Amino acid sequence: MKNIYKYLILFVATALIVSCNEDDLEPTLAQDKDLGTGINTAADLASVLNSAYDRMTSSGHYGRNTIIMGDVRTDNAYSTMNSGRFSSSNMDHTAQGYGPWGTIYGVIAITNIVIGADGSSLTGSQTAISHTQGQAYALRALAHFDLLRMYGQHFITGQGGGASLGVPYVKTYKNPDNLTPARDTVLSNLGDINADLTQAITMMGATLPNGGDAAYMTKAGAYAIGARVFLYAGSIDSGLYSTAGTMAKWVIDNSGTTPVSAAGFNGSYKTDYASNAIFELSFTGTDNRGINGCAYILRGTSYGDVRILTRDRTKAMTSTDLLDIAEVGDVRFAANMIGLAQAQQTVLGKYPTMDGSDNITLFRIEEMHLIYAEAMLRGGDAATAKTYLNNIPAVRGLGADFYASATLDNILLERRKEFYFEGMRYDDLLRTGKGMPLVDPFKQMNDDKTGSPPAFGDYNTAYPIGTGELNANPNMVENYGY
Amino acid sequence: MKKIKLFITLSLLIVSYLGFAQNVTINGNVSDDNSLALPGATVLVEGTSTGVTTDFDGNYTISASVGDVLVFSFVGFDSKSVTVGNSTQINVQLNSSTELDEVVVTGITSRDRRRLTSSAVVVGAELIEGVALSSPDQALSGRVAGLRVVTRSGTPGAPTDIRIRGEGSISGSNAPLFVIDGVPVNNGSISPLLTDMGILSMINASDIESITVLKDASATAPYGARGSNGVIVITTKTGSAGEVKYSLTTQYGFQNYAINERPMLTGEQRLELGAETLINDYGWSKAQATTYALANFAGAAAWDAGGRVDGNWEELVKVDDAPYQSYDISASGGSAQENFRISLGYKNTQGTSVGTDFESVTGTFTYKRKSGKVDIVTSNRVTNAIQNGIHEGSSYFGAPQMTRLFMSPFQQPKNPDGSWNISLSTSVFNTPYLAEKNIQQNDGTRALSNTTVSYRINDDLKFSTRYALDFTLGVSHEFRDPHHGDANGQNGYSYQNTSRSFTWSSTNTLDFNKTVDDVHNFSALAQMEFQKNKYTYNSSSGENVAADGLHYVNSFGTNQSASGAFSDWKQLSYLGLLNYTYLDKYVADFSFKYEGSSRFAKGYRFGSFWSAGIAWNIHKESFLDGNEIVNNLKFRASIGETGSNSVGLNQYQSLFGYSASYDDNGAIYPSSFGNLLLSWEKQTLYDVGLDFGFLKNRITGSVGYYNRRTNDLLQSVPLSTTSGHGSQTQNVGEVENKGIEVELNADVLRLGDFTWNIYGNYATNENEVLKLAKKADGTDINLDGGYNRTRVGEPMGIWYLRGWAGVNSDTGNPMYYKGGATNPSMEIVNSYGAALQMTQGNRMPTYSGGLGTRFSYKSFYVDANFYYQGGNKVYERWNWYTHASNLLSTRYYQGSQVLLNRWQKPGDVTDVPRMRWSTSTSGTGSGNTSRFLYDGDYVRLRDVVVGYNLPKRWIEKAGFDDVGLSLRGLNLFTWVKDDNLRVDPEVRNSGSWEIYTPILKSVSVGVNLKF
Repeated sequence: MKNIYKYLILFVATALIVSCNEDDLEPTLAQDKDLGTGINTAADLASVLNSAYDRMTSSGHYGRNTIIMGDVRTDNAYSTMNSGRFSSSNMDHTAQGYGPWGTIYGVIAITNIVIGADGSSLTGSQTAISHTQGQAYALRALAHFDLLRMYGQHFITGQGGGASLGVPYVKTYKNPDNLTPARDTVLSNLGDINADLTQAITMMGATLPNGGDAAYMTKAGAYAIGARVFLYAGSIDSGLYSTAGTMAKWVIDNSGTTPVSAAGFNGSYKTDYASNAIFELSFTGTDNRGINGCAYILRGTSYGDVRILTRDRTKAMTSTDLLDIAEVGDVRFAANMIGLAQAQQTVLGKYPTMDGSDNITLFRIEEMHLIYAEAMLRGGDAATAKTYLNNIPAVRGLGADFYASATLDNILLERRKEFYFEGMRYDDLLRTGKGMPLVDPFKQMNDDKTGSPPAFGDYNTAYPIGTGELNANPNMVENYGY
Repeated sequence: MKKIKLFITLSLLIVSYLGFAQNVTINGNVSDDNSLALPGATVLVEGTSTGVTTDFDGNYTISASVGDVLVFSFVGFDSKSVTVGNSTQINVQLNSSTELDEVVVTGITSRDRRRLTSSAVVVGAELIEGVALSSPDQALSGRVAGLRVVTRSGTPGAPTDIRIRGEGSISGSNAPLFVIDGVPVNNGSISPLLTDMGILSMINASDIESITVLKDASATAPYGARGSNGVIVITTKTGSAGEVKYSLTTQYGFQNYAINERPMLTGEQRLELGAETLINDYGWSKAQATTYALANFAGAAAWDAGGRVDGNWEELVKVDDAPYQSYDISASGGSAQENFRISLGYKNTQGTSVGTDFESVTGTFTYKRKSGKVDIVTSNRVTNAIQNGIHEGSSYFGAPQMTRLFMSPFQQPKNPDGSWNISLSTSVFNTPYLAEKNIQQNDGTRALSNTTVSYRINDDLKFSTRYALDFTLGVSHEFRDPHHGDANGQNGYSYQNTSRSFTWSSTNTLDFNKTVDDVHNFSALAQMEFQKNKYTYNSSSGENVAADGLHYVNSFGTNQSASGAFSDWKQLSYLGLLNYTYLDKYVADFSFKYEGSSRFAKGYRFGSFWSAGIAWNIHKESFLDGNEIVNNLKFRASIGETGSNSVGLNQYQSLFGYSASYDDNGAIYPSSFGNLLLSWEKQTLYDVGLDFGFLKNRITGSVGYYNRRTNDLLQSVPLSTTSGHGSQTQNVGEVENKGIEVELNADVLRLGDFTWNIYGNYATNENEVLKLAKKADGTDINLDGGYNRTRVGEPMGIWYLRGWAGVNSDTGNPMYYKGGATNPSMEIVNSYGAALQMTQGNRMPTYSGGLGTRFSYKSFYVDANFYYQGGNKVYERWNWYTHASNLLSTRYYQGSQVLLNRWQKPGDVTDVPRMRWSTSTSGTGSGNTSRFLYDGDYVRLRDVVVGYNLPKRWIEKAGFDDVGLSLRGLNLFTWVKDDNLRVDPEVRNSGSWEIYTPILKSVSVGVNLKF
């Protein structure tokens, strides 16, 4: 055989050894699974929903920012500029966008995958599947409420209140006809939230497949969300206060949770699933929050920016600070709750573990008592209101009948004492028609434009919608003023 | 099994040997046209593999038969053939080539430059050694028209970023392909930590023979899928025939910051400015304000009480005259049949940031064997490199370079007893302390093996098969001190990561070359290549160290966590090349490549890429024959289509990810939106050019025009985030890059022993976005960011900032232009919020080049090479803190000396607003505006070397062949156009200055010994 043939054969042989076709180019999928075929069992479905909870724990949302922004913009807290976080500039948003818009829609996308799954085609307990989908409805409602209170235009002067722009209510994952949704009105959002909560309550059973701990949404959790949403929405449509009251009362009567005692108050923040917990987000040590958790921002030497906003006591008082409202004997202001870090007053007791491994309780029964009190007051039943208002100071070391009467001011004062640094203050001020109080201009320093903190109705009390969203979505409208 | 058989067969071929009789021993001498001996010239018996090389005096001895033809050849000289007759002595004089018959290695072929239709630029070894301190590609700076090299950081071992002819991809990679000895290799970095080690830093510059830069269609299209950003072909040194020669190269030098960036305020200045915030905003007296500041500003009281001694942070984070040293020893030798080269290299560099260093050791072995019709070449290298790095890249409190800019001089680094002060009253960490305690180490091992067996089937046809391995093992370790710094809250932190990347490639090539009737030359090539990469990593971390002095995860028992993953990619291609040359006058060049990649969905995996080129060697025409002035004139043009698959793995699939957890239970999340239609990014490229050589090639060079249009961009198209996803990768959009490129080299003077040479290059780049993804309503999805924007009709990522209109001289307040996305208004407004972003100039340079000169007199020479670029703007990102006319610069962090020019009273004309009691950057004039955008034009003396080769008569007695001494300076001088730019203008491709170790300058002494 001539050499040339020999080597041509060799060439062909070698080519065969490494010969390939398109199938050989199939990449390995080692960590991921194809979305179309990834959900097969009840357990798969629950695992998908876990990622919705997981996204809620991100630092940009309930893991830190959503909670801190609920206080740092108010008379409770300020930024020391230790690492430039939560600075006064954060009140001075630019049209670039701000807030957890994308994170929350990420949560919604996951709930929509769960809701959109054909439960009957999955293996496993249909009760469990229904319960998981019920949780998804409740989380979807909460997520849209969070968006609404941050981006909705209902409190901005001249925008139309309930008829003003809310947020897009997204109900289907990857719906090709709705990839660039327009903003619904605030009232439409509230209607959808109500519908989702109703569905959640219907689908969730009394027994809890997740072992019963409060780290997962429950029927009581859905009611608690409703109570909070409709108390807030009462400022838009006062008819909703009674709905808030009804839902809060259901939780008080049926959830099996009880306010923690005075002695147990501090400990309830260290303990996961304390007796008052309706729904909390689970944080564990292996989540490695590090410097990005609530504890660090309140007490970290570096990357710890947020402290209690105290006024200059050598000057005349313009507004009360958190220390001003402390009563002797109130366990909420005891030395294990509020004290010094780096010589500045800060909160010690609420996020006690520096690595951020404490669960964060989003809904606890004390709030339901105060919501019920407020709903009763607004409905004209001052006596019941007083009873439920006084339920809280009674277990905080202040004795029974602390408040002589139930007034809106007293309820708001009690809410400030009970929920400081739990992210509620900002909405409490706005929903009662108040601007942000000026406590100490040296510390607040949010005077870049007007020399004072935002007043009620100011455009910058709502976050701007990001340029990225506006560029990608032709149906999106920017918030007023940006 | 098949592979084994193949190997055995080929091995047998190697040992086959054909002998013949009737030998005569012939000896003689080979010299050049000046009758000087030519050592190392090759003498070959034509048609056989018998050959020898001449010794140091040009003498040779060879066995041949009467009637044999001896071929004498030497690089740069015309070959000569002599038929063996009766004489046993044959002396030959070779004439130096009048033409540039340079052989250009393109990674796939080696071709005579005359037969190229592209403008490949070759950078030789002498320009690489000594210049490439961190990574061999650094040597390309200023040497190649249209190629820009940016060193990401002055930290030793840091990776470099290269751009050839601008940027064509919006979301994909714009980095060129690196090819070592014909095989595409990885050019990423080992970067699980906050410090990066480039894996090209594990290629020892001293082992590189040359680097060829391919830019044109006809040169890059054969690399099809990965050629669209240009190709950098590294050819490593191989053995040479002759006695075993040894070479020892040593270099020892010192490094410092090239530019003393941003002088900062002293304590006194800071106090004065800090007090002014109260004077201006609250009308306090100076005394009252100063007292308040001293009492309330962190650290001020102690600083005052301690005699106002400033903390010397800048000195502590900097290492002056950081030494570096490199030693390379190599040996090579052999015969015409076989030769080898071995080398050992060692490099040790101290960093200029405290706590940084880089050490590497490389061993290589190259062996070549010709036997009959079989050639075997194997080239193998292993490097271990260890980089001790630092936090860098952003304003990490633990980053030493951040300390330089952000640490208050009121804070004292040490306690009175001399121990480190780790209870600072600021959030910025004591990084000199941390540099002593923390570990941040990348330890990389890279092995490259490349073996080719080729068989000459007949005179015209050659078959070769190549198997290449590229293995990178990255071991990273971080330890954070429990007493201070990032892990103070966790009582220490340890992290370990091991990553392994392994690529194998198999290539089979048929190479055909035939000249018909002495006028038609055909060369053709058919090649098939399969490449597969697999990558795994696993990492673990823990908190809470058991005891001081323990550094590994085992001793950190709290919250231990681990992660690990696997990924792979595959690439398969078929390539055909055809080159036809008529009388070396007319050249036509075609290539076609069919390539598939695992990154795309089935049905969209394969892409076709092609090119066509022509060249006309005009000087070969009769009308220029014998022309005294024009020795070389070539017109060339090529057009082609290349591609890019620079998209994340598995992006086409709509996927669930499983890496999340909630409540310590697994969580499944949608990880990518998916796009089953995803396919190649394509680029249409064309070039025209003229290469020339005048006056006996005393003046040579080229001019050219290029145009590259990148279309079907692999663009990460923003989605409405209401979908739960931020973006989807799509094939949309089009970007054009065009410009001219000029290279010139002139021997200005040749007077006896004195020569003076000037060389340089110049390139322009005009970038324009032609098309973007569209919304449902048909309008473009503009990519607008806080600093940059990408819109149709504009350069990609043009600066997009609010316009700074200076400081109102009556009030001292900042002023802005009203601006606007289109037709910006130049009306002046007084608040940041009232101003709108507007376009502000280019992010990427529009021109760049190099200019150099070389003098030599006898064995003494001076060579200086400048790099220049401009047309772009550089953004000093961290000025929003350091230039803030408020408490950020005077109370919380630290201010630049620029603040001393602040407005103080009505009538003051300055660019620095009055000091304010505020922490708002946007409110006091240091928000993101054009205030901190500066012209990026600069000229840098990249490399200057003074060298002397000791006269032969001195060294011969000592047994040396060659002794060279050199004194070299890198980046010794930089001219910056904009006086206000106070940082190094060599910024990363983002155009923003970031917190990294500054670019370095260095001075070194080198000694080269050959014996």
